[in-house]
Amino acid sequence: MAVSDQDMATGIWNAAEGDEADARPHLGPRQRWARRKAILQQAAVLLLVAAVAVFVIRNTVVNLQARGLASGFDFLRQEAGFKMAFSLIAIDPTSTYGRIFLAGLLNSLLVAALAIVAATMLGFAVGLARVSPSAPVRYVARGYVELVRNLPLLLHLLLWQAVVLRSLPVVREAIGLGGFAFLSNRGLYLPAPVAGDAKAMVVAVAVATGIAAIVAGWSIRSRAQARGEAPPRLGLVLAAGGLVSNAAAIALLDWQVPVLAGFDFRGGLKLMPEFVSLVAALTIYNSAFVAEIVRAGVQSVARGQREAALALGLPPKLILRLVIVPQAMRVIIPPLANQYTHLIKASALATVVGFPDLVNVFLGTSLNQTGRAVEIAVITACVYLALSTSVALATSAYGRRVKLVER
Amino acid sequence: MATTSVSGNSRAPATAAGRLLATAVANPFGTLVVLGLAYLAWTLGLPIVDWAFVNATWVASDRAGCNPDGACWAFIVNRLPQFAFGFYPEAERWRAWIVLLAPPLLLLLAMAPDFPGRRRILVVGFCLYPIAAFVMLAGGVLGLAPVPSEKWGGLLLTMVVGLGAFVFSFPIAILLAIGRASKLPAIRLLATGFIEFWRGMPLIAILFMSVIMLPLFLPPGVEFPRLTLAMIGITLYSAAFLAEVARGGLQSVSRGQSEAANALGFGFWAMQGYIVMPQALRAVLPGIVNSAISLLKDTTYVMVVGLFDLLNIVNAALSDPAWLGLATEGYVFVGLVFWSLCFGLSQVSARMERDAERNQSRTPSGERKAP
Amino acid sequence: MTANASISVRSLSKWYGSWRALRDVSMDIEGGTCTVLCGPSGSGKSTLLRCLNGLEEWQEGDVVIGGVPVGYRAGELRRLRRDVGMVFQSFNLFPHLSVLDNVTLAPRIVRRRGRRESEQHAMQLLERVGVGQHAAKLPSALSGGQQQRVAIARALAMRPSILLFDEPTSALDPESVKEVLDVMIDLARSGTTMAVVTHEMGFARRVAGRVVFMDKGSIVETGEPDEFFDCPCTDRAKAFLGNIARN
Repeated sequence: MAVSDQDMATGIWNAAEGDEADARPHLGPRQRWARRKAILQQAAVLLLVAAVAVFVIRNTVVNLQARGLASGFDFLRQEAGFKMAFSLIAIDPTSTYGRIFLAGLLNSLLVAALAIVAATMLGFAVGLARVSPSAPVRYVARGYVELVRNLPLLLHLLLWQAVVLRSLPVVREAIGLGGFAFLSNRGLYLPAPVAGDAKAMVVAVAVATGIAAIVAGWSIRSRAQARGEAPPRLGLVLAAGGLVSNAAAIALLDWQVPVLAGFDFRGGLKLMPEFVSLVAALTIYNSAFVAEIVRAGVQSVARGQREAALALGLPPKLILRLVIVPQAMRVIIPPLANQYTHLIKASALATVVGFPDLVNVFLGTSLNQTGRAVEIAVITACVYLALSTSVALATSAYGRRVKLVER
Repeated sequence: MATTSVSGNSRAPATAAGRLLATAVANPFGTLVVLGLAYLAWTLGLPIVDWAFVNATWVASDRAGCNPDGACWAFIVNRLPQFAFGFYPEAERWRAWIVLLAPPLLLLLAMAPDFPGRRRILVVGFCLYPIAAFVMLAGGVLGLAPVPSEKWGGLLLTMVVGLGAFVFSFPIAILLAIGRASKLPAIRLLATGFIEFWRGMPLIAILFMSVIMLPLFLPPGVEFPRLTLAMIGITLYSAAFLAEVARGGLQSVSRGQSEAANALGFGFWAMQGYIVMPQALRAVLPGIVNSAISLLKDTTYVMVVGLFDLLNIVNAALSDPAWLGLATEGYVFVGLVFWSLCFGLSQVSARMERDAERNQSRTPSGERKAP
Repeated sequence: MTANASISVRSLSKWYGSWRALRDVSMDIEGGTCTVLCGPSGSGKSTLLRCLNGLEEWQEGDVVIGGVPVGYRAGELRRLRRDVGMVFQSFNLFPHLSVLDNVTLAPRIVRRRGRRESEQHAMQLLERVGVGQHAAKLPSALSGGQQQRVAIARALAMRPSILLFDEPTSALDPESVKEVLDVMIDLARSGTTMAVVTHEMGFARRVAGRVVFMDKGSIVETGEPDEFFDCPCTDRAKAFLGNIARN
């Protein structure tokens, strides 16, 4: 928009559709002046920025030399010599900094992904409760939102860490959750499939095709809905088939249930308390914001649409599901994505409780050990910028699709 | 969630009890939720009241002097001066008091009925506050004894960091917003890149980097205290978010406004300062207050670079041998302080939003007076 | 610049992209007279008017105001615009300022006049256009006609030597049109140089020295208002007048 303004102002369009001989856009003295001025102004600003950059770089070089710090990215292939308390890929003292980086990144992503799913579900529930016809439900939901979102996230985290988890029983008296999972002050113990199982490949393929079937079924349905047609049976069958195949595949695995042996549980997956409190705090804190986004979205379409739907004779219960929520999604998605970006960034709070996320093991421990401040800062910045950019790109792609459907 | 439909098509029975019954019948799940919550309130609420008030101890000299069945508020009471001012020397506390009390006084003034010059006092007050607060706290001039920033702490530090970063970030944010709306591609690109960089980074990482990287960027021999380094990071972070808010405001100002200003002979900066920005910022005032709330909550992150804000100083006090095991009391106290500040501010923002909506709905129909 | 400067437009051409908005337009407006520009929409009349104070850039030709060619440097334009007042179709009052502040802002900031002096002058002007009693209100509390009269006072407050009006009555309801036209007639009779884009034939007949009819970016016909309205020479003007008479 601004670009085309500029083009208009300086008259540098070369469109050749002019119907007459005099339709020859050219530059008058005014346009030449405006152009020269624009170039000069931009050059001045760029020069200023370049001067600052040179100043900073020179200082950095001198400072690094003075401190005897090496530079370069070769450290990524060096042995790090430390262990991580939790990682999705195997880490031992011989692992390189590159592998530490990867493990930290995976941990960050795991925390963020779990918290995003949980916060979305909790947030939608609370958000819909905020517009419930029952006044007490509305008040409780509002109370939850106001209580949660006006406390700093870090306080949520410390509360979980110090108060909730510390008050859990010791391992010997762990709370059993259906006999499969256990909760104690040492963390959460979950059943896990036995690693190296021969069936693992088969199961992985089954799960992948199952997910693909669900996605395909869902997209067939939503496309049909966007065109205003009745959703074809095929979509439903595909989605249901995918669900069943996933469930079957998961049931096929050999699940190892954690068993109390001596001072700790054996087998299964042990999630450290820091992980549990981090995910819990991120989930609760963000759910309040998701709830407000959902409420605003529902209210933005609820007014006129509800009357129209009632006039069509739709039962009120179906209205929310069939009419309001699908339309509200259009309003909900962009701020929701924004909230996800916040959540991803906030997962870096892991450092405070000592969960080994990217910032903790890379920007923290690795930087302290190698002294490659600039390199590590640049890599970390790139990772987070890539994450927030991809969320933004996905949102804008969604926005374009929605606009297309509207037309 | 079929239960939470936005319905309301019931014929209202006459009595309150009847209405209640009708609602319960129409929405059985909601009723269950309410009953469940009532049960929870009974089983959890009563013990909490017992703990917080009935069995609580307010005066004691250590943990042992507290009733073990109740809250040990004596811990908070004993440490209150430290939670408020950190390690600020006792003889100079009056300076800290002034710094701490100035913002609420200014806020009261903002709520007070209009009188001539009130706006000017407010604007000048808020703009000068961070600088005045720094001079007041740091001392070394005007006959004030110097106090190094390592000794500032508690609520005082939270205020200095939060309000300081907010006020300093304001002019930067405005410049960034103007830059992002510029016709010149290089300037637009620079502003956009700057904004997106600071918005995309986690504040924790920014704080780490400002403490580690900024000293590298400075000429050898120039050293800033940790507080200043952290403040620079938070200020730029906040500026990026505020710039996006301000950009929304800029987009809401119609093109006719800048044309009218041009036609009257205003230059670019005079036009921005007197005509465009006042309207843009007014349009997004609730968004600005919301940013301030976020920033206030985010000041707690300074913990990771070893500054003792309210949360961190309470956190540190929890390991005092005389007061072990009082995490709940400590965090509840911090929570109360933050909650009341943030909730209060959010009410201000909500009121502004309602006022703006009312103004907007009144304008087009307008009370038209006959000439 | 003298009071009531003259305007001279010499073979002005302007392109928007590849579309030519003005073709070789030449026109003179004598100091102290009122000229009405009319023509169908898209004829270039507003574009021409906006060239007169440099709100639009053009590619060829010159605009000379009070003997001085309109320059293109920012400073030159600012100096020119202090002396050329403009009134817009959509008023463009500053909604965050009171009526009085709307009128005094430019004299105080651009002309660096004192507050007291500016306010006295502004009150005189507001009285003159008949909205003196609304000085303390916000523009949104005023009717359209009142807002447009405030906009005229705002332009006058800079003591301009020329006033430009860009369809000043098009956004108004019928009753308000008369209020605004009365003020403009008063201004024209007091000998202000005015260029007015309008379709108000009554106004043109009463005070305009000349009517300029434009179509497709060129001046098609100019003449005394009575001549032009009663027996236009060109077919295009005839068709246009027929159209506005029907509406």
